[in-house]
Parts: sequence; structure tokens; C-alpha cells
Amino acid sequence: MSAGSSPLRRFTRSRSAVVGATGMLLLVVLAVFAPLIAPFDPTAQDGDPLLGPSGAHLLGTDQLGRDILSRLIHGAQASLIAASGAAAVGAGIGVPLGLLAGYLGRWVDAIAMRLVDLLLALPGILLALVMIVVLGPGRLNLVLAIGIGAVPEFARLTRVATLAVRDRDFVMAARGMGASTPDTMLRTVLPNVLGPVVIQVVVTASMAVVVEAGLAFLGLGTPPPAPSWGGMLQEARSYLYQSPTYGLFPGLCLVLTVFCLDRIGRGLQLAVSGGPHPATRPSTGGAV
Amino acid sequence: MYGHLVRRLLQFVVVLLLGSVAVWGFTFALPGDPATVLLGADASAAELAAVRARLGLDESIVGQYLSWIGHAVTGDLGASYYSGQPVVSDLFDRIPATVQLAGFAMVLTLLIAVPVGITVALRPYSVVGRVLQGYLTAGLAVPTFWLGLLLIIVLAVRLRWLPASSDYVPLWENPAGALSATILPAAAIAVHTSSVTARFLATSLGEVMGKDYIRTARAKGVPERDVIRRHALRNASLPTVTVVGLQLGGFLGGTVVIEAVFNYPGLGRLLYTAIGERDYALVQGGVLFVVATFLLLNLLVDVFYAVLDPRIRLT
Amino acid sequence: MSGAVNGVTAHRDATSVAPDPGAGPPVLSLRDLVVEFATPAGVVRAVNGMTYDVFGGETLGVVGETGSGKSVSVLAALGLISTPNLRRVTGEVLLGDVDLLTLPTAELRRRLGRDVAMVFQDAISALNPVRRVGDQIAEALRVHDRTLSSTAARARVVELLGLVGVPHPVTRHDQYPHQFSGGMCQRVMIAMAIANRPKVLIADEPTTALDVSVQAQILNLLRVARQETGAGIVLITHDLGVVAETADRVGVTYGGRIVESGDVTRIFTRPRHPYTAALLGALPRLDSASDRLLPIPGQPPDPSELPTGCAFAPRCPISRGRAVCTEARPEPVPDGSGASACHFPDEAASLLTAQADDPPVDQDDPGEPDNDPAPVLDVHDAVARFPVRSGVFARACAWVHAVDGVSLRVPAGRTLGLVGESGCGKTTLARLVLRLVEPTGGRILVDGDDVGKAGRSQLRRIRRRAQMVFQDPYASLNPRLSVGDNVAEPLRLQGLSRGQRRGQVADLFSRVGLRVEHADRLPSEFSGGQRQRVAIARALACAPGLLILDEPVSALDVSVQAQVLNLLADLQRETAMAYLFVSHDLAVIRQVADEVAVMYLGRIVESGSVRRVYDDPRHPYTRALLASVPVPDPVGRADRQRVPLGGDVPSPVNPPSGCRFRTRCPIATDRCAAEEPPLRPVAGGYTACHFAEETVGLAPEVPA
Repeated sequence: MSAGSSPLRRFTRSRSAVVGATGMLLLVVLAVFAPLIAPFDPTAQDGDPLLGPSGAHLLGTDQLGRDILSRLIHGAQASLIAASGAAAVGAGIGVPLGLLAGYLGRWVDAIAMRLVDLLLALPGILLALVMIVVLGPGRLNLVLAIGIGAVPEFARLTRVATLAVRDRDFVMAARGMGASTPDTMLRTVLPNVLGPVVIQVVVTASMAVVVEAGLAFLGLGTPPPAPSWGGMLQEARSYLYQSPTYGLFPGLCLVLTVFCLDRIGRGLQLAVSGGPHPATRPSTGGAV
Repeated sequence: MYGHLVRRLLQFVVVLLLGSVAVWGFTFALPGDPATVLLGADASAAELAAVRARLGLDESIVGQYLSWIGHAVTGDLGASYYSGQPVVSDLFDRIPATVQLAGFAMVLTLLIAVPVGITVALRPYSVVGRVLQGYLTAGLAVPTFWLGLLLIIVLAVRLRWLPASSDYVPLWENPAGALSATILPAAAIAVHTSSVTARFLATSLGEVMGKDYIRTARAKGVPERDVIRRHALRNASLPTVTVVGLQLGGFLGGTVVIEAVFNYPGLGRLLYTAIGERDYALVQGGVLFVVATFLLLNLLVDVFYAVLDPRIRLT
Repeated sequence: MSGAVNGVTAHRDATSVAPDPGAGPPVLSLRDLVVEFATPAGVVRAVNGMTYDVFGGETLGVVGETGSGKSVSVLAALGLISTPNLRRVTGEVLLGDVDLLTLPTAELRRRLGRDVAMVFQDAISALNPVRRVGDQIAEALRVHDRTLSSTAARARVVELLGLVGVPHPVTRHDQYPHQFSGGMCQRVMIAMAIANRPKVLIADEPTTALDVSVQAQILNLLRVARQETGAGIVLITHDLGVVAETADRVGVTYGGRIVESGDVTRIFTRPRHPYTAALLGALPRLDSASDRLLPIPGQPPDPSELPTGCAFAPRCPISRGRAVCTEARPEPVPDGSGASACHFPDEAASLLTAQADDPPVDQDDPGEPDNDPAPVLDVHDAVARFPVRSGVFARACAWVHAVDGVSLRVPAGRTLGLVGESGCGKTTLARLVLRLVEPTGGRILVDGDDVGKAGRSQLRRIRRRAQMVFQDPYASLNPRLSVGDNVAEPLRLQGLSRGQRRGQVADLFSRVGLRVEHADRLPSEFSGGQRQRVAIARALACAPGLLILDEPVSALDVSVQAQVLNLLADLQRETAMAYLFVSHDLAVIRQVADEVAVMYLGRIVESGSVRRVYDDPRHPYTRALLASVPVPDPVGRADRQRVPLGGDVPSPVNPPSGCRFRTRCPIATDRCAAEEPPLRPVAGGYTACHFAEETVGLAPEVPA
């Protein structure tokens, strides 16, 4: 009865998922080819300050006369690096941790889960703040700081999925065929826990975009003069009276990015489970 | 049930100890001598010596930790470098403000999330259901601090209805003033968290509605309203309780950015300033407080969960 | 759609001829019910013109295989399907004069639970986990009688709990479902269903998840419920034995409709539809093992593309491609006490007679197994205990005695059937053989190699020589690998190259009757029976000398089950593999096994040749089990006095002292509590009972 409904088909059948995927693709193109697409150099102070939208500067200029549109296009890089980097760090540490904890159980599980509990106890933004203090500023450290905050959710999720799969007959069958423990974990268990992990990658990415912007807003994000949406919002905050539109556009970029990722996540849930999935435990990191 | 709770209590203690080690060890992870790190590079030799003596840096590592935790347990988290006040009193100055903001935000969150979640779960295809789903999608996509900025632009800058920055006005002294000072940051937070909670509630309610015991209730002839009220909601609220607990824990230390947006004198703002000023004693104390409170809240959630679910209570 | 209209009238006539034991009009009638779902694969017509009547005081058995629409039809009829992809429900559902399908929800609910009540399959999940059991029953009363006070409701609930045989009803009233066993939950469901003395009681697979001894209790209880309330019972089941034991009339479903209906005796002795006849031929029998089952070829019809003609035509032994079968949907033709929806009912009638002429061949006598010098599997006194952890530090405070001193041997080319109820330790024992569970004691030899003492590489070698087939083919295949890769897994682990593997997989596929072209598909694209073939192919990949079959056909429908059992028999003949066949199904074991071992609470209580155990059981437990199994033969059922075992299987955590069966045994004495009976030679087999010599005289109708 389920003939012809492969996960890919189910994903593409969801209209909003396709919208989200298209939006993200567009954003990636913008970020990668920013120098070619942006009308101005994002750091060139060649306009009058705080202009409203006009023909020359489509979205106006900032307090130093830089073109806001160009800065937004270049700023996408910071967000996407944070998103992909944090997801990679979170999954790279969290998934093996959860797999080991779930499959081996006993003391491995006990230790891993207490570590996870501890990491979970510090709200994402505060954890990132402290991490940046310890590691020092810089793009790589930023990614690491946000990614570490995503580890517990990946670990928890992978562990739960592993526990659900561990005692299933096909894992028992693999052991019964003489497969070693690492072989069973990697070839039999891992592929069967990836569904929720893939969804969590998208959730983490959107969380990272917001946290990066929040850190930049606090002055601890991507170091200037490289533009970032959060940093632009921080600057715009001082000019709310003079140029209210300045504060509007970077925020809209954030909203659209998170929206697209959310749509992709919903589409993946449908694709993986064939129906709406118990929402992965929402990250409190969003509440910055 | 007692076995379960005692086990959770033990886990709580273990994680809290781990957390205290991490917080204490945090100064060692920083470059330089902990005393210098704690006081900053321009500290005087006498101050350094005093801190070294207090930290017992000549003692063994274990001894140092034990003396630190010993002080911490008795409420002595050291003194802030900038204010010179005890860290504990700095923290306690800010805690009421944070608790008040968290309380407002949580009340708003629940007021929005519960009806929205139920409607979306039960009538996903109705007009209202679709509109509310739109709200959920938007609420999840809009970053809290940007929403805060927008609220300031519209309500404070343009309409001048409310103050752009929020001072802490204690609720019991001036309820109206407290409300008007806290409503904007609380609303900015609640739009996001209510979307998260509502979506979660909707998902679990949707799942529960497909369970066999719901079919049983219908087959008994229970009217649909009572099926939802008496059978579905309690089961669906179980996982949601966990989420709400986590969110409340997050409010206590995680509203750093929103406090910055509104210049709200809460704990997050204190910690952020302390980090900027490299006031590490204050950072240590603050983080320890946030971690401890979060873990304690989680423990309470577990107790509450056990009360709600006889399967846990009676085994 | 004039055909459908004709169908209605034709079938009306058909059912009106049916005898109505309670007299009067039917209490519930389904008329040409059609239920459709919208799925990505298209419209699925799960129910395709279901029509039947139930009369007061009678039991109508609705029997059919998975997906035949038997459950969906009643759920749709009562408005209990809430999935958003329900596309349409048409026809009539007459409760008295009222068509339930035309009622608004609130009106319908007023009748549910009062006039029509349901008992569901999985009783544990059918009860709300966070509400007290008594309150849930009381709700059924109070929702239809708002004036009922809570004290009066409570008194009535306690009375009901007592009526359905829940011990200590006052205490039990305030407990939660998770504190009840499956059988007790089903009793609660029945109490809930009869609380308002409904006119119709619909029981949807009420005993499917239960052990035979508990099943017998529940079937008895349904009989009591019918006497108490005078309700008409619709008993929906896949189990022909259950129908034969309990039903007055029977409707056989196939492809979403009733293909044959009639008096129970007639259906089982003179079926006039080829599907009914084929189903009876495919069923393993408890009373005699036939040489070979007669499986129905092919798969049940896909409800998303039901054929225009007879849904059974593609698998039918008498259709032989006749045009009328594939073009015109046969409508039920009334015929004496029933109706058959077949174009050639007379030819169908001759089918079963032809089979009956085949003399049932009993298996060859296994001879003396001791003659075999080296059994493939030799288990000595195996023990497996699991700690029960509790308390703060999760210390083991008690032990589950899952397997407690079991010895058995299986020679090459032979099948040992291991039978017992859930929790008796049979699956743990099967897993012990491959050391998928660590043994606590004893010795297990596979081809003379000690499994328990084997090092890592030796254990891997042993695991190649002994392979396992699991119960649930939906769970035992890795869903992320193609079926071909699943079959090739053991070969990959041996280090074979991709090319070598492909060749062998092709060979294995053809041996189990699968098409090689399908090797690249994922398991989810296959039906249960096909998946079990894949699982068997995988087990064969290493050319093992021993197959451990853990309930290999329990998840399959009768027609497909016969295919798989025959396949296993053929493979054994070809390769002389030894089988350890674990099952709860006594009829299946009788069909496949040479020797049988009966397990109860971790110990073997009786063993011996199939004949010895089935025809001359000496242990009271074996006797009770055999007496509990419903036999698909309604003829002698009035004479079969069944006294089901009372209670549930005790917890293996603290098994009873002495003989473990004594708590449920009808002939237990003080000696049984004090002294554990050894498994000793009795009458050519082995029995662990102090009174094995005296049980012969006790007919199945031992006093309870």
C-alpha cells in the first residue's frame, strides 16, 4: 500500500517543504556568490549615512553610509557558516555519544547522560557566551560555542532512537549472523536512527542562526567589519528614531531563514515518519 | 515512586556536583593564573595574594575545589571585582527582576499556547486552525530580540504607549507599573515560547487522539467534548509539562539578549556585563546559580510528572 | 452502478433466508457497506459491500484474513474511524429502525455503549492509562444515565467486575490499567461493554493477543455475557478455531465483503465458496497432522486495486481463468441455511470433499532419537536468569528465572517443537542457543562446540552454523537495506566480495520462491509472507546445519502461513537441517514437529514424540493446553467440555515452590508444593509430574 511513497517523494509532495528548500538554496547561492551579486562593497562607506530606501541604495544605508542590501547579502555568510558549522559540531559529537550510550548502556550511558544533563542545564546563549570567553572570539570558536550547545539534543535524540532500535529483531539478527559490536552499531543501528537526526540538523541550524544573531547583537558574534545580521541589528538599535527601516531588514532576513528551515524540518518529518512526528524537543536556545 | 524520585534526586546531586566542578574548573581553562584571571591583569599584588590565599592555590587541586565548594554551599561565592560586593548579594539584587519577567512570560506563554495548541490539534483544517498554524509558524520564525526591537519601534518610539526600556518595578509595590514595565519583554519572549509549546501540545494531543483508549471512550458513548477533556488532555499534557519546565529554566538565565534589548536589569544582563568586564567571580557564581536552579526545576517537573502519571507513581 | 443496486437486493434476499435463532428482526444489520480511504497510492476500498445481520442472543462469527475489511467495517459503521483520510462510508447500518450512518455524532454517541458496545483487541492499550479502571467502567454507566450517583455507580461497577471474574473487585476498582494483566484488562473491557446491557456486543479480535488458556477464559466469559444480556454478539476474528467453538452463524470475509455466510456447521463441513474451502485446507489441525498443508497460492487482493470480477479469482482453484469469474462480481446466492458469493458453488462444495478423501497421513514415527550419536543441538541443563533491578542503585533484588534447567537435543533432519505460553521462556531458550542472551549456567553444544565457552571468533563460526528466523518479519529485516542486501549480510560478514554475494543471493532467492528481480527493493515493499521468505533466505545464506525458528509463522495469515510451513518442510528435506521450532500454536507444532517439548515457567514439563504428547498427554498442563485450543470443527463442540485453566501464568520472578504448575493445577496436592517433580520417563515420553501415571484416567473434563 505504501508503494510509490519513498521518503524523497513524500518530502517533495509537501508544498511548504519545497518552498523552504528553494528558499534555502537561494540563500546559499546569495552567500556563496555575494561578491558577484551585491551591488556595493559591504564595507565601503561611500554613501550618505542613514538613507532610507532609494533607487541607488535599494534598502538604504547604515550609519557609516554603507549599502544595507550589500551588507545583508554578505551577512548571509555569517549566518550560514554558524548554521552549518553548529549542526556539524552538534551532530558530530552528539550522535556518536548517543549511539554509544544507547547501544552499550550501563555505565557508558550513565556517564554520557549526566554530561548531557549538565550541558542542557545552561541555556544555549549563556553557554555560548561562556564558551566564547573561554575560547576567545573568532568564527571557528563561534561555531564551536554554538555547536556545543546543540550536542545534548543530538545525543538525547540518538540515544532514544538507538534504544528503540537496539532490541529490535533485525539487530538481534545481525548479531546472530556473527556481526561484531562496531559493525552492528555502524551498519545496522546507525542508518536506522538517522531519521530524527536529520530533522534535528535542520532544527539546530535554525537555532544557530538565531543564537549567532543574538551573540552578534551583544557584540560577541562574527567580528566586524564583516557584516552579520545580528550585528546590523545592534547598530540599528541606536538609530531607531532616525531610521526605523534599518532595523527592519536584517530581522526580516533572519525570519525568512528560520522560516525556510522550519518548513524543511516539517517536510522531513513527514518524509521520515510518513506523518507528523512528535516534535523534537524544542530547543530553549531560541528564547534569546 | 519513591525509588524513582530518589534516583532522580541522586542524579540531580551528581549533575550539580559535575556542574560545580565545571564552573570551578572554568577559571583554569582561561589563559593565565586563576587569581589573575579572577581579578584581571591590572590587579595589585596584594589583591592577587589575597585571592590566592582565599582560593588556596598552594593546596592540592582537590583541596582547592573542596574549599571553594565549601564556601559556595555556605553562600560565599566570593566578591565581585567591580562592585566589591559579595557575588551573592549582586545576584540577589537581580533575581527578583528575573523571576518577575520569567513569571510574566510563562503566564503569557501558557495563556496563548494551551488554547492555540488544542485548536490546532483538533481543527487543523478549519479557518481558525489555519490562522493559528500561521501564528505558530511566524512565532517560531521571528527571533525574540528582533520582535522586541519591533515592539519598541512601534509601541514606544512611534506610538509612545510604553517605555522603550524596562526598569524593574516590583509587582507587590506597583502592579500596574510592573505590568507596563515588563509586558513588552514578556510578550516578545512569549510569542516564541508559546509557539513552541503550542506546537508541542498540538503534536502530542494529535497523537493521543489516535490512541486506542480514545476510541474506547467514543465507543462507550462519551460525547466528544468529554473525550477530549477527560481522556485526551491529561495524557497529552504529560510530555508538554517537560517542555514547559525546560522553558521556565531557560528564562532564568537565557534571556540575556532580550534583557539587553530592553535594558532590563535581570540576571542575564548582569552576567553579560560581568562577562564583558571579565568579572569572573561573578560569572562563576551566576552560572552556578543558573545551573542549580535549572536542575532543581527539572527535578520538580519530574515530581509533577510522577503525580500526573500513575504508571510512574505506582512502580 | 446498477450492479451494486442489484447486489443489495440479491443479498437482502440471501440474508432474509438465514435462520434467526432469537427470532424477531435483526438487532444490527449492515447493508452494502462501502468504506474508502484516500492514500497517496490512490483510493483504497477497504470494505466493498459488506452485508450481514445479527440477531439477539446469537453469536455471529465474522472471520477473515488481515485486510479483508472485517474490523474496518464495524469501526466505520459506528463512526469510530477518525483518520482524516477516510474518504467515504456508504450503505446502511441499521440498529433497529435507525440508520447509524445518518445520525449526527452526538445522536450516534447516545446509542454507542448503550445499544451497541465494543470490545477491542488490545485491551491494555484500549484503557486510558491515567484513569482508574473502575472510573472508566463507571463512565460507561454515567454517560448514559446522568442521574446515577457516584456511590451507586461504584456499587454497580464492583458488581460488574465480580461478574466478569476480576478477583478482589473492591481493591481492583481503584487500580490503574498497567496493574492488570492482558487477560484482566480484557475482562474489564467486557465489563464496560455489558454495563448497559446492550442489544449488540461487537468483539473485535478479543483474544488475539492472549495466551490460549486465557483465551479460553475470555471466550467463556463472552458466552456468559451473552446469557446475561441477551445481546447479539458479532465476533470478529482471524481464527477459524475460535469461530468454530463459539459462533452460531459465520460470515467469511474476503476482499472487503462477505463471500460466504451460513450456519457454523455448514461452513466448516460443506463450504460452498472456494475461499472457505481453501482456508480450511490451509489450516494446520490439532487433531491430526496432514502430510502437507494446502496453501492458497498468491497474496490477498490489494484493496487499492480490487479486481472487477471475483476478488478471489486470481487465487481460485476452480476458476481456471473462466471469463465470468474475472468479469462479473458474483453476488451471494441464498442456498439453504446460507449464501455463497461464487459463480460455481457446487464445484466449490466438492473441493473440501476431495481433500477429505486424502487420508490424513501422520508423520513417520521419529524412531529412537537416541540412536543418533551426535545431535546438531545438544542443550544440557541450560539456565538463564535476568536481574530485576530496583531501588535507588538499581541493584538486582530478584531474578527472573527465564530458563531454569532445560535439556534437549535435536538431531540432523529433525524438528523439535518447543511450545508454551508467553513468558514460559521459550524465546529466551532459542536466543540462548546463539548466545544472544548470556547463559547463567548449563551447557549448549552446537555440532559439539560449546556455545557458552566459545571465544569471539569461535562464536562467530558457531553463529554461521546455526541461524535464526524471527517471529515478526516486519521487524527482523533491516528496513534501510534492500532485501537482496539483507540476504547478503551474512555473506558480507564472511568477507565475500560483492560479485560473489550477488550470485549466491540469486540462488537463495530462487530456493525460497522469491523473484531475483525484486532484490533491489526495500523490505517495506513486501507483504509479511514474502518478508518471511526473505528472512529464511538470509538464514540459509551460510548453509547452516541448524535453524532456530522463533514463532516464524505467528504473524502470518493462515493461507500464507501454510506456504511458509511447506517451504520449511521442503528445505529440511533437501538439506537435512535440524529445526528448533518455537511456537505458542499447538496446531502448527503438531504439523511441523517430530518431537515436542512443552515449557512452563522456564522448565520443560513434558516432552516426547508428537504422538505421545498430543495423543497421550500425561502432564496436567499439557492436557489443559490441548483442551484450551479452539478446534476448527464445530460438529462435536457440544460434547467437548472445556475447563480452561484458571488465572494467569505466575511471575517468573518468584516461581512457586515445588512443581511450578501447582498453583493452577487441578490435581495438585501438598506433595507438589514440597517436592519438585523431575522430568522422568513416562509412557514412552518424559513428564514432570508426580502423578503422571494417574492423569490418564482424567478426561479433559477434570473438575475445576
